[in-house]
Amino acid sequence: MDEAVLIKQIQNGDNAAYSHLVEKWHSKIYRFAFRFFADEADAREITQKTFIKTFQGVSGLKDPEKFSSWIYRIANNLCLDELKRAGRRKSTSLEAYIEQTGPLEGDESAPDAILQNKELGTILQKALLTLPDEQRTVIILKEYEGLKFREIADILEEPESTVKSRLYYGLKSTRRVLTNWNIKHEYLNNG
Amino acid sequence: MDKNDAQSRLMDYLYDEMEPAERREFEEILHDDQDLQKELDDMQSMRKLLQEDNTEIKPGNMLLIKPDRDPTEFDRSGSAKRGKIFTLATLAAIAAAILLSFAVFSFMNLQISHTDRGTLISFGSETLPQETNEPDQTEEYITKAEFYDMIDELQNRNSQVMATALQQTREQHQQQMEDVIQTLTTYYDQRRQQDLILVSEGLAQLEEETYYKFLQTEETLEDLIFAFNVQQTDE
Repeated sequence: MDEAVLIKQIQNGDNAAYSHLVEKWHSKIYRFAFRFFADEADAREITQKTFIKTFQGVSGLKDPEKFSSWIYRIANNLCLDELKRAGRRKSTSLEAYIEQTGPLEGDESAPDAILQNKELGTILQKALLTLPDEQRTVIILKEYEGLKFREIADILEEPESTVKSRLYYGLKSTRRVLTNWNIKHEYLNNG
Repeated sequence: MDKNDAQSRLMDYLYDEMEPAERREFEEILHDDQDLQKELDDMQSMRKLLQEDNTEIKPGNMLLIKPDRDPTEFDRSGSAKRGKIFTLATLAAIAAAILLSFAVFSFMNLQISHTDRGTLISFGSETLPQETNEPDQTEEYITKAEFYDMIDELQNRNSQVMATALQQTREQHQQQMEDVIQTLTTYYDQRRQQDLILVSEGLAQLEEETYYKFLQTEETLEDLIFAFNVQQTDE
């Protein structure tokens, strides 16, 4: 069913339509939050809060076509609020992290390690966590959620040029982190 | 093309968000600018690596509680207003009901009086019963003995109920213990059977291996004896 129609039904008081909406968006929001925090409990909490806020505010949504941007914005703002609430313990700046840890923390074999597929996800997740929040958000939305620059700009309420700049520096920083960790991978070591 | 513009176009090119003409133009720039080409290669390799991450992120089931309020009730602009209207209407209804009650009661000549024996509400002329210090002959009293009998009976019943409950609990515990013991016995019996099978298999294998070793030893000895005999014959 068309999302805009679904939103209109909810605005007319159809609670069953809201259940359909949750079913449709649940995994996307959870995935976004999980990529942001790399933590299941945080992701669950953010997902719950996002849907509560969505439920409370959906009747006032003037442009149902923009629901996608709106719900991602809610989730992103909740993630940032959670970081503030937790005193930013959940995120470390790139420079600080590299200074503190040097090569990949807790993995003695890292300098010589060739990435296995099963490790890749964990390592990339750790690398993303070292990025500034705004760069991480853009990478997640672009790379994992596959949104257009225009859509991301709409979610973050920033100009497209800012989004592109954040993505550019985000990708560079991620590469730098992985290189600092001496991660060897066919894709990374071709240049 | 300044640095910011280059970054922006690089991102557009990388994520295929360029018009064909613009793309061709950018490819020409890339061809002439080795640094930019190198940067693009780095970015592409990083992208490929990110795309390699196929971690499955599955959300658990979310508990959805059917809302008892319509979502439109949460509309911030309307919620306060609706609440106010509701409160005013309720207050008006309560006030009207109280006024109506007073009017009806006064019409029916409602009398309310309070005595030591309680509150008396009556309609029409007041006809309060005469209060005396003498006990009411119609009321029934129980004697002290009857009272104690009643207490005894209650105690008996309570002890019976308690005894029954205790008995039931004891039986339940007994049953649970028997079940546990039965399960354990079955488990140990099965383990024992399995161990016995393993030991028997181990012994059979050992026996077989010993037999073959014995045969090998015999063959070797025969070969040695044969060789020794051949040597003696030659001498």
